[in-house]
Amino acid sequence: MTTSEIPSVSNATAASSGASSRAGKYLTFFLAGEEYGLEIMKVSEIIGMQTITRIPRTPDFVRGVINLRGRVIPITDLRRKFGMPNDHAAESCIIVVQISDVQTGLVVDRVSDVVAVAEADIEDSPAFCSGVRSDLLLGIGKAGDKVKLLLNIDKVLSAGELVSVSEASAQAA
Amino acid sequence: MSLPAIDDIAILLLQLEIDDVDDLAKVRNALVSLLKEKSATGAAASHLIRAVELLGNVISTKSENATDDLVAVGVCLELAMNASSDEASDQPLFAASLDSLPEDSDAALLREFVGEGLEYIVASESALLSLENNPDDREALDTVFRAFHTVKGTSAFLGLSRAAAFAHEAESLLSRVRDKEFSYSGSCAELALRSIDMLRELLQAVEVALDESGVLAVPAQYDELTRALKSFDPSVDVFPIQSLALVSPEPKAAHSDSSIDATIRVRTDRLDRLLNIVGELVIAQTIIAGDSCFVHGQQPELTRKVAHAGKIVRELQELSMSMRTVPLRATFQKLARVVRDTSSKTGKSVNFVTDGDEVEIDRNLVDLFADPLIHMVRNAVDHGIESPIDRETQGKPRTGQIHLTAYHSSGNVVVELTDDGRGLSREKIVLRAIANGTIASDANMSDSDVFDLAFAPGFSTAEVVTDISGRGVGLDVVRRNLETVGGRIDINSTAGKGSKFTVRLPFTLAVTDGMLVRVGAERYVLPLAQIQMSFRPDASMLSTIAGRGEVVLQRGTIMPVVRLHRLFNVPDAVDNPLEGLLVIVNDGDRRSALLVDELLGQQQVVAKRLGNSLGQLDGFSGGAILGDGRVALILDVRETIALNTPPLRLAS
Repeated sequence: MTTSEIPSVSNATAASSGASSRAGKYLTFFLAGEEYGLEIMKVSEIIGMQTITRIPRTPDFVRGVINLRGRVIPITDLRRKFGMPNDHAAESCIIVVQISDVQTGLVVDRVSDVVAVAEADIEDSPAFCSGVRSDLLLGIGKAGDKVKLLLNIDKVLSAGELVSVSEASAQAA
Repeated sequence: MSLPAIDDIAILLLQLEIDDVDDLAKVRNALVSLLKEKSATGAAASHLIRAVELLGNVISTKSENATDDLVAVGVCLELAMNASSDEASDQPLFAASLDSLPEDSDAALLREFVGEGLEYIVASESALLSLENNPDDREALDTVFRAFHTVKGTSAFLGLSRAAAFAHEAESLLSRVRDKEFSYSGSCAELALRSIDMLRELLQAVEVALDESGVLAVPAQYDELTRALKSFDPSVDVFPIQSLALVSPEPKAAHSDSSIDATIRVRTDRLDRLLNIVGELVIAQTIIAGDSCFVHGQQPELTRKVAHAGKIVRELQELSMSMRTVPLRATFQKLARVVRDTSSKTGKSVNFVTDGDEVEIDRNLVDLFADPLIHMVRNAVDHGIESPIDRETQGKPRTGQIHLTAYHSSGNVVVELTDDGRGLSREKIVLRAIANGTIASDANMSDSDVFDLAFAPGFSTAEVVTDISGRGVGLDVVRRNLETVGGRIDINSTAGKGSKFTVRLPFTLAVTDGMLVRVGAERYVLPLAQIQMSFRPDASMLSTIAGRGEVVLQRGTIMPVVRLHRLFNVPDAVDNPLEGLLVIVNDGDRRSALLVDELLGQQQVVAKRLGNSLGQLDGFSGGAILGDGRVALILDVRETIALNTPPLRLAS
């Protein structure tokens, strides 16, 4: 039921962010050596790595659930989501994001910085892009001499992604 | 008015202890000023002077036994009150015919007083009842005394002389009890309870006067009861007002209306948050109590304190859980109406009996549960019960019976709907299902399997089902609705004799009694209500049946073995049933044996959703936070079994 709402939310965000509102503060973090950015407004907290309870029969990138002060929240592994090699040794923390009412934890290698990126410094993402599909990016931000891949986190986590995966598995079964 | 003033002081005194020096001083000052104003005269004054002396001793801690002195002060005040009331009683306390509200009365104030007074009355009623069981219950006596006194004081202030006068008499009766002149029992208790009723009627009369008439009605037998109170003599064993017993105090409806004031509405999301936080508190407490510094007994003092805090936390948890439950009564009453309407529409004669409507259930479940239940009851009348003529030809009584029963069973609320109608016919369901293509044959199908077909979506169009069995209209919807709240429904039926629908609902959505089991490195919670038993099988019990997979034979029952570790892809778990444990779980009548490594213990868990973004999860109904702060998944038995059994019955 809720799943039908989430895409519409993310569409709205995507539509507005595509135009002009990409400028703002981003939390940056590392995944397999690349630096990514996440709109700071969507981040509710950063917590240390902890034991994750695995959920059987879910897509590989769903790492499971944790207890966040009495709430059970799902954890998504961004490396796996983006089809990057697994390297558990590198992962250090979980970024908890809140999209509409739903909280989700993202396993990342390392949190790096909070940077302000001006619209002028953001370019639309090219079709090819370091293993992440370009439609999952808001754009590519430049801060100083470095480049950060700005994630469209709504789209990354959107139910559509999960539905398509579970549809695939349902067909396989 | 001197009288209420002394009374007020007496009441205040009741609430004071010998070390409340400041307040005692205030009492003394009040008495002194009473004497100065000469409001008390004669005998009353001399009692008051003695009281002031005694109080002075208590305050300056000169008295050798302060507690006794304080009691003596109370006695003096009492005597003073009686003395002054004796003087006062020479004059009429109120004008003989005060049948309208006082002229300058403030409606808002009166209303407030009525509401407050009725609350006092409700409180005193229960206090009186407990007093009857335990005549020495001083606290109960004080409660009633205070109630009468407050009503008296306020009604006098508001010009409601009749209520004031009556409350005064009732208060006198109780003060005689308090002075141990006689004990609270028999006719005295009768009289006290009747007085409460009378006061209630007096207050309600005020309400009526405010709302409609403006005329203050005098309740029936006001005068008789007043006289009975005045002249009460405990040695006369017979209750002097036999005729009063005939007066049924019939203000029940109004009574319950006013007692609504004693409840407040709380938004359920706040309640849910409270429950969540209390759940967290319980876990935090468990973690503290499990800390290694307590385990080795190094800190006996701290251990004791932590255990004490733990008790309080658990009590808090129980209390907060109970805040979400309500009785099924309202739901059942709604159903009685449904039965009446449906039966008159369909020309059936039905006797509807309910049992256990006091059973409580989670508030959130009530609404979700009501619709399926209405559906089932309507079905029972419409399709289950035959017409009176049909029943007669079958040798049944013309009137059909529908029985609705609720009770608690192992952490569940069970609601059974039984009728003596035409029942379900296995044969016809099977024929229909084969014609439908739902099944190829009913070989190997138990009755419960067959009746289960009636729940299949699309199986039942009204026409077909009425034709076949008289049941099944929308049963798939009923079942789906119940399952969303963690409920189960099962049918038991004999053709021609009737049907029994059994609905099992969790007592609350918030807590599940669970059994924690280990599979490899993973832990899962099994709902305790669905566990039959667990055992370690020996080789002779296990076999493999073609087409049905691995089974275990236990006490004559053949059950499929569900290897949880394979289903959930858990590495390093016990693979050989002979080395692990089989836990028999039941889903309706169907049983399965789940293979686990070991049982870790029984535990109450707070069930939480796993988060919407994960969508529908196969085999799990939610997550629970365990004592170590980690999450364990709660197994959904029905789904797990369904995962294990590929849809064999479906004709391809």
